[in-house]
Amino acid sequence: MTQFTSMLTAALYAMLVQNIIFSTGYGMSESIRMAKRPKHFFMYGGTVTFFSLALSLICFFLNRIPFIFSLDIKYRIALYTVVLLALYLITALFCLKILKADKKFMNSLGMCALNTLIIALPVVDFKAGYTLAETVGTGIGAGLAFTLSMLLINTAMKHIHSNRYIPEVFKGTPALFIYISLIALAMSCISGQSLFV
Amino acid sequence: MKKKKSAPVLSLSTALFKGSFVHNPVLTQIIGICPILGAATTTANGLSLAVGITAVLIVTEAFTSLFLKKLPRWARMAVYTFLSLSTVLICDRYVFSLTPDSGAGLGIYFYLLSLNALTVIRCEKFACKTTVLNAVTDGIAAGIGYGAVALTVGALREFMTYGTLFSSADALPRFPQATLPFTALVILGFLAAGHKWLLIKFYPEEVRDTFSMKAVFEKPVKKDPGLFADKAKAKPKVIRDYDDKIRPRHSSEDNGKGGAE
Amino acid sequence: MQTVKESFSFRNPIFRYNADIFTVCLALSAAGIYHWGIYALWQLLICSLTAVISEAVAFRAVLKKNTAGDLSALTTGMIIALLLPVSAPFYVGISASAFAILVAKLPFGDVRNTPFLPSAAGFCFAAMMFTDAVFTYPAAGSEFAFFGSEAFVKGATLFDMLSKGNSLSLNVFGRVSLLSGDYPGAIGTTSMLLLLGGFGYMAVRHPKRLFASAGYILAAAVFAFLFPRVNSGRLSSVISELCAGGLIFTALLLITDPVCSPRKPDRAFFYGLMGGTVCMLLRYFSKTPDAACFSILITNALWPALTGETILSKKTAEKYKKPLMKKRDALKRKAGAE
Repeated sequence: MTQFTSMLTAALYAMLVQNIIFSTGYGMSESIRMAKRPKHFFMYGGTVTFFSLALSLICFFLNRIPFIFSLDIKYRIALYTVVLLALYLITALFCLKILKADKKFMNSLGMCALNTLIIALPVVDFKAGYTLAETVGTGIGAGLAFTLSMLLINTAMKHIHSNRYIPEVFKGTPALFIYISLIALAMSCISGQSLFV
Repeated sequence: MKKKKSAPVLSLSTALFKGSFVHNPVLTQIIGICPILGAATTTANGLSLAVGITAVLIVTEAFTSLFLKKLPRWARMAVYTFLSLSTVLICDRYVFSLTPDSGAGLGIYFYLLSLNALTVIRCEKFACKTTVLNAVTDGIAAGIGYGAVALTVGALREFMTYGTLFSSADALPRFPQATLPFTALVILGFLAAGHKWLLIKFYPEEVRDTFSMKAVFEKPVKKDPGLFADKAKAKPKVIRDYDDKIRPRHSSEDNGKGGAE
Repeated sequence: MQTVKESFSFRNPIFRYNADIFTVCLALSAAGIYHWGIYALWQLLICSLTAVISEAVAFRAVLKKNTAGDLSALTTGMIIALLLPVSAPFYVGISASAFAILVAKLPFGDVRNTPFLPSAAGFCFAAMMFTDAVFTYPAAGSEFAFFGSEAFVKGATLFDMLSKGNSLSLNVFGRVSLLSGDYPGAIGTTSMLLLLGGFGYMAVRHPKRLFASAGYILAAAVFAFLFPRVNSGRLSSVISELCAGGLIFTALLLITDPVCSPRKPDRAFFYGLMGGTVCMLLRYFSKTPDAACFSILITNALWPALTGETILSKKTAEKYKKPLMKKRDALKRKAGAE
């Protein structure tokens, strides 16, 4: 029960308390690009959740090896990136050969998997010294946070599209930046500062 | 047989100017903003990001143009990441020697340049369809554009936080919350507005609404067949009239008279 | 180009609504000036003037119209000032008001199209950048300077006591002090009597707006009843939580904004419920002392995302309905002719 509670707390923390997208910027440009396609939100969110969870778990067990535990940040990130690449290639081959996925899905798989958010999560877990339950919770929470951010940014795009009173110089990307900055301001109240520098 | 229209040939300076300023990747397309939000908190950090991304873009685009044109897209993306990571790991020492204050402040963001969306998008949209020289030029132009924005945001945030420029190592922060991502987003919003104003004044033909949602909200969206596209069976098309009577698709002789029996 | 005279007219619905808000703010300012003296007036003047001048200059330069006369900028500045403590330095009010107009209002054009409430955004900006200055409240009778005072006696607010889990009786500040506002807090959020009077005034002038307030207060009260932070009983918890911070002030003036909140009363009630729940969650779990304004911003962001409603949905729906209706009419006429 304690494990389940700590998993739930970690997931809520990553999703709401300190929304990992708006409070740190990880995965922001990917979520902006994917926010244009609301029909695929759950597919993108599910894929990001899968990769974030899988990579976090693999890196959690890798960190148990003393040599890897004592690695410098530079080589740690390099190792996590190599692991992510291997995971991505295995998943891509599985989707292509076994599930016979189409070209569109394969292109979006790369965008979902090779994402700054996915790589940053194991680093966060390592620095915070999370347990296995908390690692699982953070992985799930990051995927949910990504889905929430796509939803909020899609709303921003709808508003900017239908608002004909926006000044010419602010139409499009400037107004979108400002809208997202106000969401980030609202979200950053909760923890007061960024987790990672 | 119609001849394909070839793109106009631009001079090097025009190509660099257009790639870095007119089609600035951050201000017009919102690509790769994660390191700017998280790490461009001082001028030194901005400069490190600028040099890092330029190196990554040049190497990756050149390699893509030379060797990766025949590979499927999903496999190319893995190669981009591997190349970017190698470039970042090799050049970090040189970058940090240029800007000694930046190392600790950058955190993991410098190494996250290996997963930057800018690299993938430039390689896919341009490098794998053109020559090596053009690809390298595009890489330099995009790097300059990205770097200029990173440097500007870093300088402004350093001034807001410490009141200094290029010498924040010994300074005490006046407003430490200026390092939060929302200040970077506000700065980027106004930079993008200024950039758009300049484009409207001097290059009105180049002004484009990158995040136009017309395609999403004004045209009917085709139903996505989903993951298993080849297995989807074609359904017979029917049209419902406004008084809900189903009629088959009318032929060219029919004048569009609806519902007539 | 729209002139100030055109915007400053009772024919303008924005002016009519803001005139009522200005009246309520004026009453609350009077209480603040009575308790804190000329320094409260100074704070009000700085914030209001900054907001009005920013709007006059920026809107004229960018949008080529003068909207400073519709009182929206003036009420934005006054609301920000009423949320600040009297001891806040002058640059806090200036930066908050300028942020509210230049960042939360100008990029979205008209005041009718702002997705986020400007006054809430301005206060949140000040709260993030100058946390100590915004959330440190002076004790009654403290001395100040016009350009911000660093050495003043800090008062213990109801909020501090709640967050420490003290046992509070209903008489912690005295009933008279609670009604008149004579206890440490922001300039305009402490006088319960005037805030209740404000509710009465809004009930006469804009009764449909108060459905959002009802939802907001109900959610906060239920939360405080179910999860009390004090040991002196659930009723004490409810009253203390409602009187602490800017909750009642937010319920009266911020959640009722006709631009950001839904038009229909039933939807406005649920909107208020969401705002109240978010406010209490932030109070219990976040590090920010007073999260009422942050709850407004989060609700402004979440409500259209979860319900599909935007502030322009009525106009957009009409825009797309017209061509369809024209086509339908044309087909009916053809069928009738045949």
